[in-house]
Amino acid sequence: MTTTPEPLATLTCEEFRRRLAGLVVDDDITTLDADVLAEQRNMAMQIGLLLARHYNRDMLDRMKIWQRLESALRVGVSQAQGDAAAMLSTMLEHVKAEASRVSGDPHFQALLTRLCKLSNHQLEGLRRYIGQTIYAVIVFTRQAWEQETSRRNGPTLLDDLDAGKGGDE
Amino acid sequence: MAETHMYKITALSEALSPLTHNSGSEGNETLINREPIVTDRGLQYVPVLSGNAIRHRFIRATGAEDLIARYNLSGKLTLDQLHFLFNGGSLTRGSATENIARITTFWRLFPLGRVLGGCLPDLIVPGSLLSWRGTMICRENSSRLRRMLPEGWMPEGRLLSCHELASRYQYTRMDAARSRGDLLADQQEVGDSGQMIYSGEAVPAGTMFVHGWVLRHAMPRDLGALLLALANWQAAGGTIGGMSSRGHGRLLTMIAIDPDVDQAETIEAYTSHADGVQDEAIAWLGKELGQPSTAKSKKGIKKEEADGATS
Repeated sequence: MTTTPEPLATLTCEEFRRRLAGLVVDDDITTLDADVLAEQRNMAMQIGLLLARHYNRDMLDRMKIWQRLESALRVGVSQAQGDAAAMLSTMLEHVKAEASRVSGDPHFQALLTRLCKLSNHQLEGLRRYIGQTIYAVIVFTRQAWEQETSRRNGPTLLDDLDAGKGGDE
Repeated sequence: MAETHMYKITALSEALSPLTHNSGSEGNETLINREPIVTDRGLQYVPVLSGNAIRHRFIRATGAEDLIARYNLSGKLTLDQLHFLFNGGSLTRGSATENIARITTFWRLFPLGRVLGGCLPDLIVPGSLLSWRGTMICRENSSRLRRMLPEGWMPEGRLLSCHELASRYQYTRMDAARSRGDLLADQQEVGDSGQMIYSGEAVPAGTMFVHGWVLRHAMPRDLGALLLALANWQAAGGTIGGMSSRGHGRLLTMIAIDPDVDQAETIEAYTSHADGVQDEAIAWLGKELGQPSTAKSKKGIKKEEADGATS
């Protein structure tokens, strides 16, 4: 004799919509995916540049800056989910940034403000973008860094990025 | 002849654990099953649950398990009967026949067989079930979902993309010789490490799929056979895809039936019918797919003789 299990639960329109709530994006992103990707790349590059600026060259090997940046990005996106400030702090800690320099850096303040304004969904998108394209982010960052170091005497690339000019892409 | 109906069952399945319903591998990496679909942004490859897997895991396998338990057939089946119940059988004789009387007898004795169809050695028996593929609830599928589902079901707003709904897993197959080599009689036996890392793609928990079934010209007891199979599948953990032994592939499924029916009543209609035709159904299995042999196989007899000679 076999026992009869409970039938499957009944699905209604209301239940269906309630269950889908978590899959509906709760922000007002209306831009095309290409624009979202360009924005994510820009922010990832700014994070990379920030890390390059604050890479502690006294404590760490100057020759291993890009290797260290790669692990900083990886650790940052994997350990600090859902919190932009925690993500940046983890990354800066990984390159042994000096707190006194970071606190006085207007680019860091601008970037932190920008990232903290992101919705959870946008931040998750950025985190995923960096995690999935880490080598590309390093390449973009290195290009931008070399561009910045060649413009030492004038406004830096970070100034341009802060002003929304977007660099030389 | 009893009145038949068409039943449309719409299902929503939510992943309770990562899904690894795979379509292949690249080296040690498994790849989840995707299908190309045309969207307003061009061709996109979106994870999908195959109709074949849904049909087998949700219905045929659990339905067969129920019949075997119900008719106390465990340990009494022939290989052909086993294949027929769990996989639908196969055409093994040279010439296929058409025999309406045999088909209707089969349908009467096995409502689940009427639902799924099957293949006797010389006869293909059609089923009445159309099984949908599992359509992932994501932005890429949103326009299709709007057309598949009743009006008003799909919420307004922008769904997450299937590319955002992606995750990975990684496991390590350990090498016991490395961790507990001290238990070996001969320490020198330990060679290169057999430890292996294997990983792959997964659809994360919380992802949802819309799927369903259309049961054509069916009687309530046929629907009951289908609903009982679904209930048994869910009660047994409700898994699909690979690595369920490691916790993957658990689904929670809800259904809407059109026209609305009382599930418990239709299941009762099926179970009372199945219990009523039990002897006839078991006899039919023996007649159509062979009786289990009670004589020892030649191989078994030879082995016994050999054992006797050496003792």
